[in-house]
Amino acid sequence: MNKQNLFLATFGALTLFSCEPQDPTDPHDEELITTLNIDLTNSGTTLELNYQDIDGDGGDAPVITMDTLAANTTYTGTITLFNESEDPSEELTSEIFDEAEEHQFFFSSTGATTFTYGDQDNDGNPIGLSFTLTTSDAGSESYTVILRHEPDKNAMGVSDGNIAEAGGETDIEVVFNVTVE
Amino acid sequence: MYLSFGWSLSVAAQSCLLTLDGRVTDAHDQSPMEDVNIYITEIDLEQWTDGLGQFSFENLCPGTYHALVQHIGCPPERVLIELLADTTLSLSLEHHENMLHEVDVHDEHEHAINEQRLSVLTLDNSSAKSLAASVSGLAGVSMLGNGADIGLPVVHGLSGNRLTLVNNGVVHTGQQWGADHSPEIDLNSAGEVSVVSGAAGMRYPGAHMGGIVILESGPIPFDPHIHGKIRSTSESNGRGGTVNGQFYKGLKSLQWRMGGTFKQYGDRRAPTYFLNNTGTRQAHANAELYKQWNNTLEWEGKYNYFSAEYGIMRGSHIGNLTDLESAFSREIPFFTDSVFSYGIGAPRQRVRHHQLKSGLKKRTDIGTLEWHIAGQRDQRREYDVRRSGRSDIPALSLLQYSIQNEVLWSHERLETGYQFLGRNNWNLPETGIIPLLPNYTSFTNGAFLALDHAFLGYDLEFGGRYDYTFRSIAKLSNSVPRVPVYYDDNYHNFSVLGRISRNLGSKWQILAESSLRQRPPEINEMYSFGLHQGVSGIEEGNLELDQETGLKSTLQLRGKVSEKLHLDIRAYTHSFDGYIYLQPQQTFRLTIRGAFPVFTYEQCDARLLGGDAVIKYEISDHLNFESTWGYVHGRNTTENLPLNFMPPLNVQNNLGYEVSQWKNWRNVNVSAQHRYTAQQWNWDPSLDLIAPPQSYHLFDLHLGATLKGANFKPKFRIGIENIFNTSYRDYLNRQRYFANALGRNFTLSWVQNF
Repeated sequence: MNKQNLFLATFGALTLFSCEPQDPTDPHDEELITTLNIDLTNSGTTLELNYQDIDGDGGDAPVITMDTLAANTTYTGTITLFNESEDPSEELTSEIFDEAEEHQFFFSSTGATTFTYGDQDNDGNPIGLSFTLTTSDAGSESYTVILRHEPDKNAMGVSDGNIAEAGGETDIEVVFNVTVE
Repeated sequence: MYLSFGWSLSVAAQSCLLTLDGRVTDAHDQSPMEDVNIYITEIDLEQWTDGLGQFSFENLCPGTYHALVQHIGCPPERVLIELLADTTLSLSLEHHENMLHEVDVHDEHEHAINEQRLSVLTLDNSSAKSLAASVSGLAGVSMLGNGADIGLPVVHGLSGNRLTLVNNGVVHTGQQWGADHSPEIDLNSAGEVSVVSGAAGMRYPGAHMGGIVILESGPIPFDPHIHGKIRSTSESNGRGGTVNGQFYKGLKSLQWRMGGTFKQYGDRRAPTYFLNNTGTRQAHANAELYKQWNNTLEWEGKYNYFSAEYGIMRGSHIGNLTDLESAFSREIPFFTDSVFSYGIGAPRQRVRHHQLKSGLKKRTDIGTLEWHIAGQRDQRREYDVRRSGRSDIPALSLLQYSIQNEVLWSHERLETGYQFLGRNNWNLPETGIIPLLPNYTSFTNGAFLALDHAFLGYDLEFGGRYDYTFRSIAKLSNSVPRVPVYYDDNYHNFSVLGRISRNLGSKWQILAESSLRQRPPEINEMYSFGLHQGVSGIEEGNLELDQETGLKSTLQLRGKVSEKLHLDIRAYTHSFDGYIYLQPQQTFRLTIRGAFPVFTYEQCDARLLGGDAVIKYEISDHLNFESTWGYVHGRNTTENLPLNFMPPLNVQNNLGYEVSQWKNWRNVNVSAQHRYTAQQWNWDPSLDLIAPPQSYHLFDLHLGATLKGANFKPKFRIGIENIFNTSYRDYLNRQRYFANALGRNFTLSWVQNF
């Protein structure tokens, strides 16, 4: 701001004002989920599906990595969530688990892979942090993993994993284009 | 109503033998008014004026009396009489304030031709409504809103950053950039509300390309007793209501007024379901003091406080594009209920606004000098549905201080002044979310000149204005690591206006006006970045934006076809160079939460073509009909596409029946209203994810009357809105993406003047 502007500004601004705006502070978004990691275990072998978008909405594109799955195999799946925009990174899985009644994961595939919930909240409804995944014949499939906040778990089909009547907000929606061999 | 007194003193005994008589005439043509009710509070007696407009009370004791003057179509008015001798009153009434004024060259009470006012009666009937909902009954005015309580006025197709609100002579500063941000003004603190397009605009700083909405508290009548008004409205839809009290006292050289409003509503109901989380809680206060020292110096001090908590319909808060699309496709929205609740949870908005003003006015031989200074504090907190108890932590938290300082000088037909407006706006670091808007300071210095001149039967007006705005912006970078980034910008804005009007004979008035205005791109248009629930998507500012320039030309014709048929017709074109708008992008943004629509601010050349009309017809002495029409056609001429969110064709028809007495009731009136809003046909699928809603018809019925009673004379009004419980959605209301608008509503209101 030059001298003339400064004069004009102070002429009117009697109190409350400084000419310069306040410096913004990084709010450290603790709620931001940057990373979704799925571990798939079958007889001692662990495969990973990983989705990572460190700078949140916008900015750089997300990084998606996937292992190749075996055909006609049942895997035990567990989901872990992180906020990696902070240093050190923060695990957020417990935030979902602590509010299990208000959260549910939904799984779907464009192929013949099936998903079964492996956990329950206090009301006996599924959460989806643990699940089993059973592949069928070899081929390429897209898995969609959705985390809903405040779904209506009592709506029709929701506890069986059907998202249509669930409602609520989507906290996570990621797609993995996997290869089954 | 305007009152004037004529005392004719004669010798009278100091006993109870005094006579108070008088005559009531129409303020416009001085014709006598029949059936005016004159009620003297102290003796509980009433009289009706005869065919000559005359009345007479006899055998009165000397003393102080209050006469209440009531007539259909007029707000009740109180006259203070110090009765010492036989007295003759001469009263002139502004008859049918809500009717179009007849053209009368000599009429000093005439409102400016390009100004529309809400009558006191309309304000009394609107005490439960928002400012935007109340003014949207005027021709050419609509409402851009979210749900029932949040709304911004739209004047001739322009709103938000392009509209200026003036409250108590002070330009209202807040967070007007969002379509889901209601102005922080309580309608009940205002005694006069008008919508002005054109010349008056030069007087006010701000980015208003089109109209200005002006609220004034109005004069305090002379009366050394405390008087006032209590207004209360209860409504079935939302199971809530509003109570407002205003108290005032008017001494010779000192007047004051104080008031307050409380308002609470629970969930509103669409015809077949409750809209979960659509309640509101509000509390407002106003106080003012006027002091005069002789006839040349006066001071006024005013304070306004506005506090509101708005629930946002739960089902309108979306996670991503899939959520949005599934919300569109549902017959009955998510999070609608069969159970009513007063609770307000996330998503919700909490707003607090303070305005403090001081004005000094000095009259001299060489003109009138005024000095006004005002400060405002605006705090806005918005809460979203968040995890782990964070729903109680605001997701958006903005605090703004502004200061205005102006020096005005007017003499005869010239007015000029210098104005300063400074703002400091910042995000409180409590949210834990990267803010949508940056921190900034903004300073505007402006000067204006307005002249008017009568010439050969023409009224000529000219106005010019210059504003220099400089801003400093500090925002967080859009990518990690988040570091502050600084910007400075400055703008020179010029505005000019020319206006010519004349009377055509004694029945018609014509006005032609042209104005050129400029505004700088606003902070949100240049610097916003992030998820904005108000647009259901990711909103990105554009640093490349330049000033917006608009040229508006208006032609207006007003007058009477016959004694019974009055017309007011207006047509305008508004051409823009660099019209700033929010353009939906073709590609969606992929995030861990799924895909989001992306909206970017862009500029185009644009043209608005519009017109509005008011037609009034007095079918008989008791029956009148009024029809108001408005339409604006907006075009992006660069891309040859329609402009989004322009008001569709809308029509309001009102049939009113009034009688001055029926049994124990006075000023009985029945009105049937029909409202029609067409589907927005000027639209293109590239503008939005969902097509404009269907056209709709709504019908309302109201019955009002004043009870003839002892001292109180309460006025009651009952009504049914949306009589047929029609399901509809309004193009300009964001809630239409998710749910139907409000169903049937029964209202009961009570107005008590005392």
